Amino acid sequence: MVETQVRQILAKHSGLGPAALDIDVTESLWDRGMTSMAAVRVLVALEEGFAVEFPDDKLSTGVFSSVTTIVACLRSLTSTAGR
Amino acid sequence: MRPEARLLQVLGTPRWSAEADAAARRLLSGDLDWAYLLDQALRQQVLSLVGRNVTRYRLWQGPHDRAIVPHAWIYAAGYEANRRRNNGLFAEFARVFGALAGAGVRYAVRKGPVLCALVYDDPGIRRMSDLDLLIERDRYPAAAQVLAGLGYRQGVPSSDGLTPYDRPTRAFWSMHLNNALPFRKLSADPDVELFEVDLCFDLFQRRSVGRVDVRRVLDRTVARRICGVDSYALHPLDHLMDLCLHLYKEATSYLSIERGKDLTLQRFLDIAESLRTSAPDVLTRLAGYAAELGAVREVYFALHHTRALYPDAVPADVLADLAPGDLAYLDEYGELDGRTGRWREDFLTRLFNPDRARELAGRSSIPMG
Repeated sequence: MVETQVRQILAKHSGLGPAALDIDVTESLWDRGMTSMAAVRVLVALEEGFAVEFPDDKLSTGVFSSVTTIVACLRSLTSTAGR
Repeated sequence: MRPEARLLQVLGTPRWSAEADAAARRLLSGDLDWAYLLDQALRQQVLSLVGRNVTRYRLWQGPHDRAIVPHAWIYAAGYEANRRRNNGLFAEFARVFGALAGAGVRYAVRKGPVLCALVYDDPGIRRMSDLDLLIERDRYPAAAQVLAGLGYRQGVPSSDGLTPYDRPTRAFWSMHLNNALPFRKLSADPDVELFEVDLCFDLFQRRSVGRVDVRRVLDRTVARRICGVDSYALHPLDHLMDLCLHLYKEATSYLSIERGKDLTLQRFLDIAESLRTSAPDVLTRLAGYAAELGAVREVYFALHHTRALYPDAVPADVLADLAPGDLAYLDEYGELDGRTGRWREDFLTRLFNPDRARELAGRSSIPMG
């Protein structure tokens, strides 16, 4: 469910378009052409979509490098928020 | 070069000499566009230095009781205002040093305050803007807390204060840049419009090829009197490396070019004067250090252009030994933005052309809102 929503946000904001719906979970979004500004748009959409705020230590290129890393970060944020 | 540009080069020196005096008076006796000269003195960040020299060496006085510098008072006033402004900045920056030390945050002072204190012989001749500090990234929360305690906030200056940066801007800077958004504090000092502190976590940019261990850089800082108090400066080799890397970044980045901050005489003079006041073998060591860190392109870029303006500062043989294989990048911009373009005008023409940004093929993608 989280992964599906992440892919939809990536498709809309990452600049990768519909390809983001099928991209391998570990494939680098940067290598596929996501730009610095697009990553920021993805971040803002993720924060709105999941009602979370990424803390400064999660604002790294590593966190936004693949579907897997984004989903892992969101899970850690939502589990923290739920405690 | 236009005669006004040549005159600025001559007047923009902290060490006056008989040769400089003769060259200045020769140029001053010709026809000059004074509006262009004043504009360029401001853009090149050398108005206060020019003002000190024009006043101290009575360059305004021509033969037969004729004033050859119209409105000479404006240059004298520029120097005096900058001297007062720097004193205000020194006092504030000294408070920042003390607060950081009190909180146990390791730092090194970069650029302006160090140059004023250790390189130039007169604290009023160099224009300063902000306080640049190198810290370890994991000490950022502690440093930010110290600055907040001193009344600093991160925000965009507006007519009624500071407006906090928007989320995309904060996110972009955290994710993609090696420095924090500027910390600012409105000033009640009439000579200082705003105090600003920039915390930087690396000497290199994220897209740079080179790398340096910031902990080691901070391990080898040197204790110095800066802004009138005990503080820490970068090791002389790191100081020169930092000036070269910064010059390359500013000279080639879209954001700096758009703002007209990319090329200034002051920045090249900083390198020339830092070399002059360093140990004789520093250039050779700098070349080796550049190779070790992967910064040959940036250091060569800085020294090559410094030599174009101040030939005595950089020996030709040292520069030749440092040269990378392909020099085409010397006339390019945008490498650190990931979008490289090529200048049509040569370096010296660009340096004194206030409209050079019109050549840019695009705009900076760094948000500042």
